[in-house]
Amino acid sequence: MTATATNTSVKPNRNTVRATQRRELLMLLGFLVVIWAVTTALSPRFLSPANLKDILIQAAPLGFVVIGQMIVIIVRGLDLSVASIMATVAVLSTSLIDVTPLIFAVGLLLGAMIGAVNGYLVAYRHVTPFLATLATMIVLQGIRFAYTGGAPGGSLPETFRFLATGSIFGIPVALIALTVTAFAMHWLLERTIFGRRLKLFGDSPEAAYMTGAPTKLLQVMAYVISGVMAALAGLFLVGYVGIVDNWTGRGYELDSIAAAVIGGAALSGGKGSVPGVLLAALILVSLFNIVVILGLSIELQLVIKGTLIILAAAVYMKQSQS
Amino acid sequence: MAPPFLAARGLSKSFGPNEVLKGIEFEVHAGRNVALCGENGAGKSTLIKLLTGLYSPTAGQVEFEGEKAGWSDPRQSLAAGIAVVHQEFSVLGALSIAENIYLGAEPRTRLGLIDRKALARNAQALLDDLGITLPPNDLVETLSVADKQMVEIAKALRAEAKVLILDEPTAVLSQNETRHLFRIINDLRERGMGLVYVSHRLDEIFEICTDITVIKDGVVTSKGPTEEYTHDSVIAAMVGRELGDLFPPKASDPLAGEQVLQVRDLVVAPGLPPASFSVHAGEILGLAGLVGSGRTELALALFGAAPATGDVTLDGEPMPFRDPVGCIDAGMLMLTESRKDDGLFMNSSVARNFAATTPGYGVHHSAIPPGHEERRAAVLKERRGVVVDHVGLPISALSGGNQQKVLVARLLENRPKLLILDEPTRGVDVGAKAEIYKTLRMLADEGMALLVISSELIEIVGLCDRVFVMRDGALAKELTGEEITEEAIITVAAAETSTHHGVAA
Repeated sequence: MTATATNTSVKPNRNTVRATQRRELLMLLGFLVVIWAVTTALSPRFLSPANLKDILIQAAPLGFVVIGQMIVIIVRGLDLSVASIMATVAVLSTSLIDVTPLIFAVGLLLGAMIGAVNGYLVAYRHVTPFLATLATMIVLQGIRFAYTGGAPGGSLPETFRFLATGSIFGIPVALIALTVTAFAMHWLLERTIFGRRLKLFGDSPEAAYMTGAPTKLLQVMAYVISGVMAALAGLFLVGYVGIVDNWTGRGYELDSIAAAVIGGAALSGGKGSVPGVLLAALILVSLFNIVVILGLSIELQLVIKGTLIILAAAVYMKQSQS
Repeated sequence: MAPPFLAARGLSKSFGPNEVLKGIEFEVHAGRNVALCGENGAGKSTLIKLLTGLYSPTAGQVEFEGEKAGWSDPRQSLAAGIAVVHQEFSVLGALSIAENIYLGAEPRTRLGLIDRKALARNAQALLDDLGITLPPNDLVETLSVADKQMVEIAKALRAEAKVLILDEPTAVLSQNETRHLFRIINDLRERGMGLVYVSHRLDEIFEICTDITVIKDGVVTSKGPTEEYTHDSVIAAMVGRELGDLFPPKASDPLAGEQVLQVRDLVVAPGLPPASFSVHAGEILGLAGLVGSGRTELALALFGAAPATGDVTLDGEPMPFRDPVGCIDAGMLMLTESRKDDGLFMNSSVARNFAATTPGYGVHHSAIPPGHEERRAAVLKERRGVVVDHVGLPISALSGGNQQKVLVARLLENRPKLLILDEPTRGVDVGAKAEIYKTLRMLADEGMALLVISSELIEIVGLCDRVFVMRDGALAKELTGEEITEEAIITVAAAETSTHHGVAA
C-alpha cells in the first residue's frame, strides 16, 4: 500500500483542498446558470442586456461588502457594522466635500478607521466580534442621526453620479471598479503571505500564533478591509440611488453574511474565496430581480433567500464530512 | 476451558481495494488483560471497531461467549457487556461527574424527571466500587486530565460489563496517575473482567498485561502470554527491528559546542525559583519530570508564548519575552505538545501546513507563485517519509504519525539555531519514532541546539546527552552521561514535595 503511494502521486486527487474548493465554485456557478435558465424560459425579458446590466449594477455594492465580510469571517469574525458604515460614510463624506475624488478619499479613510476600531476591540480587547461590531453599528447610527438631524441633504456632484450609473464602452463603471477590486482582493488572499496567514489564522488561531503569525495585526487588518469595502459600497450605492439616506445599505449586514456563507465561507473560519462569494452575491441579487420579473410577491424572495442559506449550509456540511 | 468472552475468528476487513485486516484470530478470556500492540496503521483501531460492531467484517466473525455476535451497532455490543474507553475524551465539562457517568441513562422519578438523588447515589456507589475518590457532584471541567479519564472509565462501566477495552489510556497521564489507573485495571481483572489494553508504552504492557497480541500490517504476527516475551521480541514482532536500533549513538562530547541558549534567572510564575541553564550547539538537552512539573511552561516562556522575567540570550543576542514572532525571527522554533490544538491547521492542506512558518514560504514580500507550496512539499514524500497520496489533501486525512512527521519536517525546513520539542513522538508508532530520533540526532550533529521535553523515560534516556529533571516548577537535578537512567529520573521527579522548593540547578 505504501510502496505504491509515490507512483500514484501525479494523478489528480478529488479530495484535495483545492479540488473541493473548485467543486464548490462549480456548484455555485451551476446553480446560477439553472436559475437564469429557468427564469429565461418563463420570461425571455430576463436575459435582455438591459436587465442583465441592471442586475450587475445592483450586485456591485453587495459585491464590495461581501468581499470584506468574507475576509472578516475567514479570521473567525463577523461584521455587523457594514451597513452602518455604508450609510455613515455616505452621509458624512458627501456632505463634507463636493469634489468626487476627495469624497472617495475621505470615505475610504473613514471606513478604514471604523474598521480599525472594530479590529482593535476584537483583537486587543477580546470583545466577541458579534458584540463589538453590533456596538459600532449602533454608535455610528447615533452619530449619523445627530449629524444630519434626521434628514440628510446636499446634492451629489455629477462625476460622482456618473461613477455609479455611467458606463465606459458599455460596461458600467461600478462593475469595472468591483472587478478591479475583486482581482486585487483575490490576489491578496491567494498569492500573498498576508492572505495565507489570514486563512491559517482562521483555521487555527493557536497554531498561527505558535508559528509566528502576527495574530492581532491580522485581525485588525481584516476589519479594516471590511470597513473600506463597506465604504466603497456605500458610496456606489448612494451614487446609484441618487440620494443620500440615513438608512443607505440597510439590510446589507445580513445579506452580506448570507452571501458569504452561500459562497463557501465557513463561520468557523479559515475558508472562503472571492469568486465564491461574488457568485453568491450575484445569485442573491438575481433572485430579487427574478421575483420582480416574474411578478411574484416580494415576500417570496425572503423565503427563497432563507431556504438558500439552509441549503448551502447543508451542502457544505456534507462536503466537509466526505 | 470456558469460551472466551470476546473473540475474533478469521476476521478480515477491506475498505475498497485496501485490505486492512486479514484473518485476525484474537481472544479475551475472563480475568485476562490482553495487550494489543502494533504500529500506527497496523489495524488496531479497525479491530476495535469490528469488535464493538461499529464496522462489520468483510469475512470472519466476532464471537461473544462462544456465539456469533453479529452486532451492527456499538449500542448492541455495549448492551452485551463490551465497554470501551476511547483515546479522545467524551466527557462534557459543563455537567457534573454523576451526570456524565449516567448520560443518556439517567435514573428517573415516577414523573419522568431525572432523579438527582438516585443519580448521585448510584454514581457514588460506582466510584466507591472502582476506588475512585471524586465527589460525584463536581463539574467535570474543574477536573484534571487524569480525573476526567477516571470519569470516562466509570462511565464505560456504569452498566455491567464483561469486557473493557482501553485505547491508549495513559497517553495523557503522569506517572502517579498511571499507577492509580493500573490499580483499578488490576482490580477489575481480578474480579473476572476481560480487558483489552492498547498502548505504545511497552513498560506498561509488561507491567499489567497477562497476554500480548501483536498486529503488523493487518495480520497477527505473534501472540501468547506475557512471560514469553521481552521488550525486544515485541518490537521485533511489531516492526522487525530491535530496541537497540531505536536510538542513534549520542554525542561524544555534548558540551564542546558553543552555548547557543543562555538562560539566567528565568522566572516563569511568581513564587517559583529562578532557573538558569544553557544549551550548547550539538547537544540534545532533555527536560524530564512529571506532567505538571513545569516543563511545558518553561518551554513556552523561552518561546515568548507565556509571560516570564529573566535574561535569555540566543547566540549572545538578548531575547525579549514578547511573542513567538520575535523568537522565530531570532532563530528559535518550537514543536508544541498538542498537534491538534496548536500545531496543525487541520482544515488546510498538507502542503500549506508544511509551508506555514514565516521563512517557510521561501518568498518574501512578493507574490507566491501558483503551486509553490505543493512543489516545496514534494520533499515530504521524497525525503521525510510522509505517506500521503497527494500533498494537496487536508492534513486531517493523515494518520497521527504522518502528521507529526509533517510538523517535524516543517521545523527542519527553517534551520533554527535552537529547536524546542515538546513530546516530539506523542502518538507516533515505533518505526516513525526511530526516524524522528535519527533526524534529531542528525540536526544536533550538524550543530543545532535541541531542547526535548518528554514524558517517556525511555525516550529521555535513549536520546538526550544531558537531562534536567524538573519538580514543582524548578530544575531539581542535572544528569549527564551515564547518570541518565530511568531510576535516577524517577527518584528525583517523584520525590516528596517539600514546602520549600528545591534549589535550581
